[in-house]
Amino acid sequence: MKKAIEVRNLKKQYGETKAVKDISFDVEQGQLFAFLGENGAGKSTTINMLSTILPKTSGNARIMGYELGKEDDSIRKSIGIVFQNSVLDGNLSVKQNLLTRGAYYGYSQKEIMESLNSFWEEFNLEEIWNKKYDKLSGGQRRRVDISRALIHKPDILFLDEPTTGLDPMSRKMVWDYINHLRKKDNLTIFLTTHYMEETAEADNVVIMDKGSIIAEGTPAELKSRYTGKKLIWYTRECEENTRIIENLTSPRFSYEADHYNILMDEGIMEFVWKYRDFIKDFEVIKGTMDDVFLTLTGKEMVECNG
Amino acid sequence: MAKIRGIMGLTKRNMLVYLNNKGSIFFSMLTPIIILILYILFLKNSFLYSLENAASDLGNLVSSKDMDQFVNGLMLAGIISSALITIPYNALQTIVRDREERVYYDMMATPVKRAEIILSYFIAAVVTAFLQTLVVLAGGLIVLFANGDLYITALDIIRLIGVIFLGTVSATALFTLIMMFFKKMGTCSAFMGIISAVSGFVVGAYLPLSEFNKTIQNVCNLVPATGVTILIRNYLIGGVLQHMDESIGGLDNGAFAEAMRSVFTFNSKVGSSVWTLNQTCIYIIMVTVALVAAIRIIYPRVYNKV
Repeated sequence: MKKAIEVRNLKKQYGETKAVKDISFDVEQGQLFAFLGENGAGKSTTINMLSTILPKTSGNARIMGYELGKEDDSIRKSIGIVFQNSVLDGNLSVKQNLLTRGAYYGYSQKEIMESLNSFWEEFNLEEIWNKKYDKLSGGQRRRVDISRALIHKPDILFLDEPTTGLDPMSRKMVWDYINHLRKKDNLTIFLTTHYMEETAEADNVVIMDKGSIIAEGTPAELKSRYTGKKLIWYTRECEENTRIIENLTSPRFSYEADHYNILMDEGIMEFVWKYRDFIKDFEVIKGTMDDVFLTLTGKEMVECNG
Repeated sequence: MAKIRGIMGLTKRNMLVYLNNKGSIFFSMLTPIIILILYILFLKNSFLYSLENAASDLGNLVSSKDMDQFVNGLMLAGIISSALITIPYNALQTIVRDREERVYYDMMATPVKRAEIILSYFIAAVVTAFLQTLVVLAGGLIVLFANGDLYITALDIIRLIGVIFLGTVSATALFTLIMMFFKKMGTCSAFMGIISAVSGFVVGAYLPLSEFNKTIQNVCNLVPATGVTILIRNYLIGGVLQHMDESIGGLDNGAFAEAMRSVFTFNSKVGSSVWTLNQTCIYIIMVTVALVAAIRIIYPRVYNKV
């Protein structure tokens, strides 16, 4: 598979502060690539460097084969960005916003409309076309933001926390659009998010902490590498049941509402079989990406906007 | 073609952002409106009193109608000159707002060059300020013509339009440079307060410059906006002053007209040298070119330090 993004030893330093410390990774074309990390981990700085907004301190990167720092114009034509905070003008209509932004790429009005037509219906642009951007709902705004990022038909779409602050329904809608685009145009998506469940569909995940990459892999690989399994035993809490669990070597468990959560790396089925007369109702689940993040950074992902 | 479309798209966007902001347009006209109100309340009477005093020895040779038109013209020159300061300033606030809200990231991630981004702000401010000031000029001339003869020629009007263009470009160059040092809209608005207060004095709208001490006069005469006001004053009310002089018929050897030209500053004076209108014009152009050169040197530093 061809590489959409190749990053080697990329660094960004502000005075003494090292915002991005020597990171390397690849993103293949058509992949959904998730970039995880807390605020200040260096995600946005990395996106800003790869999108030519910020100059790199050192290292190399190639975007769609174009060398960062040398072929920036070609890079800018191949990428679209949905910024964390919207960059469209609130006092302009959707039409005015999109037509002026399309012109930045040298497109005529006719060419912009042709480009918009390819997702006009899916994004339901008709109903909001003449509305002022700041009069739109959060979900509608995100639709316009994504339309703006796609106006010049880029190969890579950078999504910097695209669903932050959206209600669950709007989040689902945004993801439906993104998945639609992936299937239709084989678009490479570079996503940063702090909603762990949004990384479940990713082909590859990179986790950053304090400017460095601390883990990389598919969600399944990361889960099996950094989390164990969890046995959920639906039963009442009593001394006898607790004693059964305590027979395990170094047991880690808790009781919630109607079930025990028992963390086990291995030997689940043997344990269940051994106590089959007691364990009648149970399920086994893998660790989540939240658990991966917790294991790696010692911090839980929290919703924040910075 | 693509490059021109890019600059045009950016320029159009900057113009739309300003023109769609009614508050910004109102504040850009606040100082001219204050001058108009002060004029109606007492400035007119004060200026008329000076004129009548100077003409008291000439009997009825100078008509009160001409004196009225002369003072009205002074007021219009003050309004136009202050508008040439406050309108470009308000139009250029988009630079700071875009910086503060990181809207310019969106521009920097497109093929438009950093220099083109600044150029588009510059062109947008020049075009909007020029057109808006022409509306003020047209409105003012209609009122003055309705009030009586202004003895203004078609050439004077063409020269006025030319001076307004020069004034717009020179003020836009100065404020573009200043805006590059502002990171927050709060600072920008505070500076606007100072500009509004000072501009009326610099252009001699509240008080003739000749009333100030020599040092302040010298400093003011080095400000391009003062030169612009002097040019506007000459082309707007030079005709009515000449008519008054002709009415006197040489009885005072031109002393009345000369006194008016001196009191109401019809020529720039720096130290002991009195500049011709052409010299004033050349000085404004030279300062403007120097400001544009300074912008050229400073903008890459501003846009690479994000």
